[in-house]
Amino acid sequence: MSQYYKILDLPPVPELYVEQALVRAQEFTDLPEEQRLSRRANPLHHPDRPVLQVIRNGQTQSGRTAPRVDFADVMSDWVNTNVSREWNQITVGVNLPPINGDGGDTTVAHTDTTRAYVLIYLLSVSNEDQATVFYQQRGQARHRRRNTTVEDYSQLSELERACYPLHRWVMLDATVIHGVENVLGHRTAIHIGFDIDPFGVMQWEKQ
Amino acid sequence: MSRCYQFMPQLPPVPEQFIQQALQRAANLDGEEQSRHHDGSGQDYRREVIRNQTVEVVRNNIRIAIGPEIEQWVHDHISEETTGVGVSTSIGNTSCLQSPHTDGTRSYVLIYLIDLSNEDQDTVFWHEPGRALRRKRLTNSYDLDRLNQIDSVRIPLRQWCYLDATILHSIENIQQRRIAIQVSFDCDPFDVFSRS
Repeated sequence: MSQYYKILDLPPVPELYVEQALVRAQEFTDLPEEQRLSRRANPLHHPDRPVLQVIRNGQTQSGRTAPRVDFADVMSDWVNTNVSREWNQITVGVNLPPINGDGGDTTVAHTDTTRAYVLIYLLSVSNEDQATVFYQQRGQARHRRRNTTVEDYSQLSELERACYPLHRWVMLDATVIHGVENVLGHRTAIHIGFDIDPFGVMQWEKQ
Repeated sequence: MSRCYQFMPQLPPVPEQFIQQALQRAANLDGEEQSRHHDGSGQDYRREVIRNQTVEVVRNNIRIAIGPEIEQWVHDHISEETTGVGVSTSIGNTSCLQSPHTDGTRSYVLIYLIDLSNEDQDTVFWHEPGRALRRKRLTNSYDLDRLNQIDSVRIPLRQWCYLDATILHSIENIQQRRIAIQVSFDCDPFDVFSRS
């Protein structure tokens, strides 16, 4: 059983919200970059360097971005009733190519900026073999502070990788360095962010 | 039972120069405030709770930054994953209770007490029936009669104690002073609370 994510038996998102989330994702994606920046619910990791690099196997490619836009105005009552009241953000996330036009397929390995745990509910993916990959940076703790990024993958040891199913709630430990790889087109999901693990499911085995 | 705290004897003691600096900051309330007491709703933080069916006034805990030198020392000797190093002081002469709450700016905290008016001050952990054990930030519980006590710890002076600040916790029997160096974390770099 994974220590980094758990697939939870929580109620599926009603179709009404799925449709609204997809509309919001498209409206957000269609905005000019500057307007997307101002509406992002997750700030850039490094505002002075909006395009991070994936340096791996002697090659460098620009990293994709994963902006999110608020969706609590639509879904908070349903989440409070059916999931948890302990959330700090409800958002819709998209995954976009690097803004410099390079064709990267990976978001740079990172910890999240606004949350320690996240429930992700994938709505739509261009290809089903998109992998969420967890890493540990050599010589560092497994659980890292927010807004940590590692561009040089030679510093990382892979812990685990998984492809998540559509329309299932997956709880991730976002304090473990992770990236999404092999995104060949789009990836749209509802995210419920937490500072805590309200379900008590993310536990490490004794070492 | 879920782990609420753990003493960390493997961590080094705080050098005396930083203790003196922290005591001075606390005495003068001199520095950038790190604690957060408001949830953004515009409502004032309540200073009264119900315990044993009577209304009780509660204390406040102010935390302020100490300075870059101790932050560097913490990075070098404790962890690089900290989000802040501060000194806290408990305020409120008419009460001995800091009421049950989760912290506003962090999930885990290392506490290092440096001055106590009385040594029999207890940190008490609570569970609100029907709710998750771990709660979102800035959760306050005003009706203590509805809570179940799950654990407590009496932290001695100058020993590192690591707390899960997402579990409702109160401080009891603060007769006058309680001053502590606090190291805050959004994650659990020591793998203490997330270990099965």
